[in-house]
Amino acid sequence: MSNFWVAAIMTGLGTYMIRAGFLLLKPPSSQAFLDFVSFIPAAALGALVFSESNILSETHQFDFPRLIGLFIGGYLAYQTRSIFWTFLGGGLGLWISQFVINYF
Amino acid sequence: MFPLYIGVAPFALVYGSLSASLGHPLTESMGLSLLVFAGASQIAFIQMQSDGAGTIVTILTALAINSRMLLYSLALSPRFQSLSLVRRSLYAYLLTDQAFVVSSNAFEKSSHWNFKAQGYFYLGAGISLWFLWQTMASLGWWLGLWIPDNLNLDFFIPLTFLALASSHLADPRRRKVFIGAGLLALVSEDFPYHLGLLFSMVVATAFGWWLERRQNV
Repeated sequence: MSNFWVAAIMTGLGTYMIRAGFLLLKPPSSQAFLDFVSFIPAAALGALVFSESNILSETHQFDFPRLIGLFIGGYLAYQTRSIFWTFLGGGLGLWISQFVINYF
Repeated sequence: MFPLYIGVAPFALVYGSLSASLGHPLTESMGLSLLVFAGASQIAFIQMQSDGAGTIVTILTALAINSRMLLYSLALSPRFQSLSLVRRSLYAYLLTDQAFVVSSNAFEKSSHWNFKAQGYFYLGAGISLWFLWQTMASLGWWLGLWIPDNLNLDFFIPLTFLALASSHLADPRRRKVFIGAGLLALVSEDFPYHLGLLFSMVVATAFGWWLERRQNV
């Protein structure tokens, strides 16, 4: 079995255990633990948004079309809390600024 | 549910097309999708595998990304504790950001629903999202080579996360954690084996916990 499948099965099992943990067992009652895990979603999402958007190139230069798209998408997400408007605003922001920068 | 489908469909297409462009065969792409069924971690997983990251680091990063589901599981557990073990086991597999968000909103609006009705709603949401994800991911794999690069479809992944994060940003401490994690992720982008992502999540979570403790003292 290749490394890919070993990693995929382990990730699948681990993810299932994370999902099932509190659904199948009684949740721990320690307040400190609950306080800690309550910040994980915000931290995970923040790290993912900035790292996956690739706003920094390999030479550490800002990719301005992506930066503009991210800014518009972020503003709309904050204001509307709607995936649809975030997609529309962020996507159009990226494509239009990309077109303008490449054209001029 | 419909606005969520709009978000999930291109996300799944991006996953499928990205895995094809990185040279993963359909069996690997869909096998991972069936085993893990969590978009962000699947994308990180296939990228890290293609970059030659170690197996342990890949697994730990994917699990770190999925660790937010621990909280969803915690939030849903009081509603589903009375249901059978088999049903709860299935519900666990179907737990995603979207299923959690849409179910939590529906439960709040329809407080007269009993736990069984809530369970059926969640099941419907989970199964429909599962079918949509698997179908669009396989379609993305087939279409992958025909999606032009300059469309930058990968950019819709952080946009999805942004939209999901918006509910966390109302709280100032979570806003600080979100921004702090993002800045740390940028600064630590050159860390080996994509460890910067894990590092930024852990440090930002600890920062949030510290803010919480400081406020409670």
